[in-house]
Amino acid sequence: MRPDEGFTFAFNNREPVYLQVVRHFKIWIATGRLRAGQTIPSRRELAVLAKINPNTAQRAYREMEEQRLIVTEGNSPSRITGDERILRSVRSELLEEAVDRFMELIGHIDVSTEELVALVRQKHAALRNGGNTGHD
Amino acid sequence: MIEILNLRKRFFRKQVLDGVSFAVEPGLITCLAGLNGAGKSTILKAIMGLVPVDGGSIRIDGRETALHLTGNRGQLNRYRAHKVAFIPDRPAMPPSMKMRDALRFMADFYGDVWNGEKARDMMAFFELGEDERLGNLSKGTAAKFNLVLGLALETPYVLMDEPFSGIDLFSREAIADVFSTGWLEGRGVLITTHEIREVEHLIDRVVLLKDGVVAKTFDSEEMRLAENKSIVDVMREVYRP
Amino acid sequence: MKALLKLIHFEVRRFRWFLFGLMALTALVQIAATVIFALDERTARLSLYGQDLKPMRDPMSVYHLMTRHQEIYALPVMICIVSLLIYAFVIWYRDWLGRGTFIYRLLMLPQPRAYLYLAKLAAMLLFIFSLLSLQLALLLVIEGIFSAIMPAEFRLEARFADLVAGNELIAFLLPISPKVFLQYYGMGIVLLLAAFTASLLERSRRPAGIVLALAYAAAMLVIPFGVILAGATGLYESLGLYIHEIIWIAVGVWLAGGAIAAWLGIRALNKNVSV
Repeated sequence: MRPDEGFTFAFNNREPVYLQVVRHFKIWIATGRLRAGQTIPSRRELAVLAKINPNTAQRAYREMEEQRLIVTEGNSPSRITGDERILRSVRSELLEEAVDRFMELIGHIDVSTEELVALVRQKHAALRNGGNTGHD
Repeated sequence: MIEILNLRKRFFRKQVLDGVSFAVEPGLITCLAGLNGAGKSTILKAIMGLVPVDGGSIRIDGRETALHLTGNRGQLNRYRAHKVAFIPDRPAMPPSMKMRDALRFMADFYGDVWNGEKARDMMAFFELGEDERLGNLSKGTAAKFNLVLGLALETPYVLMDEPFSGIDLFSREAIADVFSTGWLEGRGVLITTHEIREVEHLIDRVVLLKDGVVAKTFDSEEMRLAENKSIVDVMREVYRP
Repeated sequence: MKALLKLIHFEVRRFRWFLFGLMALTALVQIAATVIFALDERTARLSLYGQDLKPMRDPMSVYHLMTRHQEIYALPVMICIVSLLIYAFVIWYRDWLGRGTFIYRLLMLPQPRAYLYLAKLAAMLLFIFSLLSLQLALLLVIEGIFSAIMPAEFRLEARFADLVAGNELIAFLLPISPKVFLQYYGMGIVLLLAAFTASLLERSRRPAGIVLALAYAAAMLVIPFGVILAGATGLYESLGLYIHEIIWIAVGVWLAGGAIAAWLGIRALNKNVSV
């Protein structure tokens, strides 16, 4: 897991850093960057990679262990869980979070569900066909 | 743990410290913040026995070390040197000395407490050459070397006084990187800084000094979790004129 | 213990160029003076007596040479003395002032702070005694040069005691009697300790420290003047004291002064000194 492989971290200062680290991992899992059973760096390596305090890295790992996103067996390096249910739930969790945020944004606009779904379908198709969603 | 209890210090007519109490926990990075002249530097120097205070107690791992209470009796200087390393905000070596000589000086007097190998690793990390005279170094390089002189000492606690002050961006980044490495691991760190933004995400605990007392102490992650506030947000609240 | 030696070594290294400079100056001036004056005297005699070198024509010894040129020989010695007096204070202040506030490092060392005091004291003593040794050696060199330049016909032998006596200042600094030597240098060391302590007091409890230092300096001056004054006013005689008792009292007072100075200075280092 190296920065040149696309594993970079960006933090804001208002949310707990350790939770932001966990979210980064969840996104990588959902996008397939991190695969089931893949080994991840040690706490110390993560601290250096993310430029965070080793205590924060420790906290992040503990949180991920509690959410069962990662498993550590004995002294071997931790790995992403192989449990398909958990991996799928990560994906759905992120999707739902994104949709919730979307809803917050458009909540006050007067629009019908059909119009919304049609727009989403259009944008999603454009995304799949190679990037550009028209205009940003 | 370093326990500061009721520290009082007067400079001329100003009561700089008026009953300051807080603790530096082992293994955590604590930031002592405050406006200019708030007495942060004085507190660090008082812990190191470089400045006597008028009242209060300074206990390092249970043993009283305040000068006015013990006066370095009974190997106290040695005890303090084995427990706490201090990285001042200026190079504290004769400018005519070369880096190599300064390293040898530390090794000579600190014996086992000095880790020569760690020093060499850090010199390499910062890309410092041994033959330069200390007086000729740029501020950034001098600051990095200062860090080496402090961190290569195997002490459970480290005090850093304004490690980023007046230093160029890249040197600052290099110094901030040190916080993520193993060189500080497991050690209780107390740092004073103005550049809180550089190190927001590296700090575990914050102690805010105002008007000679501790106005607020908090865990940075708890603050973010509970109140969605960054360290800077809290500082703005506390120091709002 | 080893750390103390290392500190002394460190202090000595710091002033080595200063010391060499003073040594070189003294050697240069005194040797050059001897060469010039000896040649002068020789030329004068040769022109006066021509080649008629009957034995012992108006002979002189190096003692006479030195006596005739007191100021020249004394000049570099004076410079050394003044330099030492200044250095007695600089040796402390240089650690506080300047860009590298080295006093931070020194105070933080694991060794007892008393070592800092002792190391600087030892270094000063080494400084003083190496200059004295140089002067002794130079006297021999001067004698040798004189002998080389002055033909035997014009030359008188001089005993070493005469060499020392040749210059008033040097004679004062190198007393023949060991008792006097001990006396003078003993008092000098006590005054050195006082200088150290005054400096350390000034550096304590800033800015009030300077008051302390001045008060202390005043107190320290009371000792020698008190002792002398008491003698002058016949206090001792009126107390019916024997001479040797008076001397022991004086010695005691000086020793006490030295001990108090050292104690105060080291205590200041341990409790009150501030960066």
